[in-house]
Amino acid sequence: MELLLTASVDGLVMGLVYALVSLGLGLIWGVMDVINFAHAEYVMLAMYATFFAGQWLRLDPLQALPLVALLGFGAGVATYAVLIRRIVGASMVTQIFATFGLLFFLRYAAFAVFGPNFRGITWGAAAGSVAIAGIPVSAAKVIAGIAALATFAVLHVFLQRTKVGKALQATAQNPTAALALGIEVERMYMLAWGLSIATAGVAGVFLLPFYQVSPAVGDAFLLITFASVVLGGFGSLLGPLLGGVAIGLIEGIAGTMISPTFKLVFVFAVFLLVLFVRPGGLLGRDPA
Amino acid sequence: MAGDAAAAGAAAGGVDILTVADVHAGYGQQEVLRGVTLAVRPGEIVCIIGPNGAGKSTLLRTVFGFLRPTSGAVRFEGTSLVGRRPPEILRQGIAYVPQGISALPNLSVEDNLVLAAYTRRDREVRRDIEALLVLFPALAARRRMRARTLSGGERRILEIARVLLLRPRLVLLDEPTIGLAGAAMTFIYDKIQEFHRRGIAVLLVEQNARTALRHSHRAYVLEQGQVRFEGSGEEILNHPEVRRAYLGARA
Amino acid sequence: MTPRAAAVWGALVLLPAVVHNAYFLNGMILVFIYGTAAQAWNLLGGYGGQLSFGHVVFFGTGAYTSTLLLSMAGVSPWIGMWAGAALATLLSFVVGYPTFRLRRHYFALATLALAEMVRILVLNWPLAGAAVGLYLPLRLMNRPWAMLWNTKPPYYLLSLALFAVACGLVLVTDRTRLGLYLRTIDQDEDAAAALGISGRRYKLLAMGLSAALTALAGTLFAQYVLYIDPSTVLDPSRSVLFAIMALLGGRGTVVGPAAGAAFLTLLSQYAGGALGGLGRGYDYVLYGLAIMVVAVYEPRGLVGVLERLRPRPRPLPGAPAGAAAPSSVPSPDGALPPASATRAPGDPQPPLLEVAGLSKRFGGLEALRDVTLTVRRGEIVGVLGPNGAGKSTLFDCVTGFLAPSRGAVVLRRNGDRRILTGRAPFWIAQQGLARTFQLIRVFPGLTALENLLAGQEHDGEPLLSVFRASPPAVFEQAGTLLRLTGLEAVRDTPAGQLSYGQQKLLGLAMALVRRPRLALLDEPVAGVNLTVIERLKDHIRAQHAQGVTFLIIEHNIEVLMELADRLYFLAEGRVITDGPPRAIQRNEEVLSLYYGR
Repeated sequence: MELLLTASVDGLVMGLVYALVSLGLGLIWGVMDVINFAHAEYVMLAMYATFFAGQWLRLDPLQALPLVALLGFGAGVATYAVLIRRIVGASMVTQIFATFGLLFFLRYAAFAVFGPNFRGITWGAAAGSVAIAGIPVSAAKVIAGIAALATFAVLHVFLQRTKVGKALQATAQNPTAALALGIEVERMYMLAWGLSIATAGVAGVFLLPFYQVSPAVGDAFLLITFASVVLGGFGSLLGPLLGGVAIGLIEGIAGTMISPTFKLVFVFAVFLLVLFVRPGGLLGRDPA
Repeated sequence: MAGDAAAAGAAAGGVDILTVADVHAGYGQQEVLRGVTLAVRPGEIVCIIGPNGAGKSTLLRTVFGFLRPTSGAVRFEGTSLVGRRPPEILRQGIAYVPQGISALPNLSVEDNLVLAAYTRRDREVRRDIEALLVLFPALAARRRMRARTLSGGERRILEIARVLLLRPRLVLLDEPTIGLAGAAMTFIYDKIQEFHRRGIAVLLVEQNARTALRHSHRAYVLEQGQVRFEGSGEEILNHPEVRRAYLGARA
Repeated sequence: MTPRAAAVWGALVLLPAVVHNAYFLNGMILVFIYGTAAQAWNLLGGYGGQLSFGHVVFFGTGAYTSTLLLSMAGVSPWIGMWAGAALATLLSFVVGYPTFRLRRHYFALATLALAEMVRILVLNWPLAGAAVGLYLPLRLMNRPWAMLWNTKPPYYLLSLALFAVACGLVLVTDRTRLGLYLRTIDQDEDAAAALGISGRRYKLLAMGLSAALTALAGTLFAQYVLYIDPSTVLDPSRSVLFAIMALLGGRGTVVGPAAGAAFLTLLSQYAGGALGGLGRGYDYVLYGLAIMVVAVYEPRGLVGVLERLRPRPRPLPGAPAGAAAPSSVPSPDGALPPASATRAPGDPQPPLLEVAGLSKRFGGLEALRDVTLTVRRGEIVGVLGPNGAGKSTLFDCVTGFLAPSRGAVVLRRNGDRRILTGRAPFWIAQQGLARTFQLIRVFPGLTALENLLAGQEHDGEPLLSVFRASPPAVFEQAGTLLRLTGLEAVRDTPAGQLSYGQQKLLGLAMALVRRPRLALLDEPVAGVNLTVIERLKDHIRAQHAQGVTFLIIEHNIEVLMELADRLYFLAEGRVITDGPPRAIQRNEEVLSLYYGR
């Protein structure tokens, strides 16, 4: 029983982190029905950005946060303007093709520039562990979990309470009607991309203190982020949040109770099961 | 009623607020509008009727910039609209309520109204929204509920009412009463009259032709992408040839 | 085979006799092995449009199966490789069957997930060598039955043979009906189903072949490299490599993946970059860039670029000699028998289609309410009504694209009753129902002729017959239809480039190629000019004279009055009334509903 509790707490915290990493993916998917296979690569790049902010500018993650988030926003807008804009209405094959090419490009550019070695940082403020329900959890992970919740909250407030946020929702729900109300749909898409990659930036900043980065790190997160969004469903922020937490719990509990080596196998098995049985996920609408 | 309105229309002044001149437009290879010419005067209610596939909706979409005419001219208050995109055209003073569902289903009634005023930058938006809710008590009762929980009629009321927030000078309505009957339909036409009372011109496309014609100052009959008949609402209502256009030869 | 192709293959076969440079031979062997996998990927992803990102799992399955069988049980790899292929095929069905009906992304992700799962499992499976991997039993070196040699030429010839088989398979697919059907499924699966083509059936076939072939390549790889471990034969970037070779070279073509494989392998070999490893990877950066560019500008890859520079007509899908030429018998496309000639007025005809109490709800909206109608053999029945009346929904329910909430659809064939309610669209089509769509659906990437060939009879086709070209009778019929619809001149033009009127004619002809029992036409004359309307009417009448029954939705009242025996008037989801055209025209309720209250 003790073991189950440990596994659950750990899984929950990790799940929040997964949710944060998946948030941007779900956002784009929901707003413009584009599935960005390269999303996890941006998280990887954000981790490198945080690393070098620490090395060259002597910034700790919290200090680096605004910088990295801003860079992320810019990268998102740039990606939209250069590539995504051209494939918005295109066939699914073209979309998959194009975002996959992007994945490749980013990952191997990282290899070429940064080399294959793992890099990590130690963040003094996040050293040691924190007790949650009596279970010790790494402080860095807990901080990441809190950051995840904070990001979701901020985004939620933005979408629900600001005019621009509501306009973004409108664009997602009915682009034609939005256009008829004078909302510039193109700009909304740009905004969505900026936000998406900015959240990837936040994820990267808080991942680095407990998760080492190498150019291949995106691989580890690719399937997990997709599993989170598919499991949780589309259509709202709650989807990636619930999905991420679910994945984290499955991984944690399977890893502790059944086998740590095969924990990912369980995660993927659940993912496949969900795909086969209910592709709309726990919450979401069935995909067209 | 049509007679009164006609007189009112004539009194509003001779300069047309909207002119469409020999417009051709279509989707890809398919030409739908084959030389349409019509005009709307300030404050008038003009309706366009005709069989399906005639191009009625396409005409409105072309005026509002969703579709670019391949030839011809579209002018609003003297300014050309050709090549402009919908948000620009909106800012010129035209509002458009498309066919089907245009209310945003997962946003509340109030948020739908807030978004309707998206392009306004002034401070009076809140006040206008409240005033609007007074005018439409059915909406006020549901202001915090999501639009998708509204009945068909209520949703249509929302879609049409919110247009007032834009203070347009011309409103394009695409089949405002489709799927409605009886009291709901009457209510919509009352509100359309409200536009007229505020001096806003209305160009509407309708399938419920009889009621539309009774409430319109002037009407055009569109067939196969061209204007076949035009006249006052009453004239068109009683025109034998128009019946033929709907139901084939020797109706 | 063209002389040029024969020369190329001949040169390849003779190469090892002339060139002895081991480095070069090594490169060529890898080209052939990877090329086989790329061609295999091409079958499913190129022709079928199902992009798989986990294809390496089949490669690894082949490699591990045959190697384990050899080292543990002494089974010859010549046999073991088929065991690997069988296992790979089975695995492919496990992931393909449930995901084929979903959007393409899900299949891509599912294959990725599968590949990762297998990799982790093998990585931790001591029997399979876990992370250490497996060595092939070197003591069996130079025993042909163990497929092990210590010189390059035998491997060269073996891998060349496999590659030839792979290219041959893709060639056969390209030139026969399998390729045609796969391309229709890729371009518009619903339209293909409406013609009676089962998407799932052919995608599974392509998937099985693809997996098996990739597994064979995996076995050969193991036998050549003499050592396998998860990082070499189950590594995800290898899947991607196969996909990239096919994509950059040109997916859905015969030459593309071969060119892609040759280019990338040799480039990597001689540019010194790490192929499949995690080295500095500058070459992969370029590949990524190239993929993005190709995706946006020329999805058909290198082959597409070449074709733009030097356009060549697509070879006809296995056209029998002379079939493309005009038929020597003059066809009677002048005088057409008047529609009434085949129907004796007053004769009670047996019912063909019975719709009873059909209702359809979408959430709160009731699109169809208790619709009952009958179509008798040999009739032309019209359906009219205002926008939103539910006419297209009715068609969708009858043809299986929507499942009705209540009610039944029954087809009567030669006395027996077939219940159509709730069945899949392709099955319903195979019962003899054809349909057109309100928004034209033709296959844009196929020529006009190919579109018509896609419409041939699919009922009762044995699976393997799909590896043959379309029968001459179908070519005849297609040729006749091209003439009748005036599309002969654009026979070899991709349908996506035809005018709206031409596409409408093509859409109608496609539905009628196999002379269905009942044709449901959704607004056949909408949006076209008078000439085309006349052509369409003629076509309908001609088919009717040959025994096709029609159910037609139309807004063009004049056309319906001319063609139809009976009309149903639908409004607000209900049948308001039905009867002969004149009666409907005069009906007060119809007038008010159509013309407005």
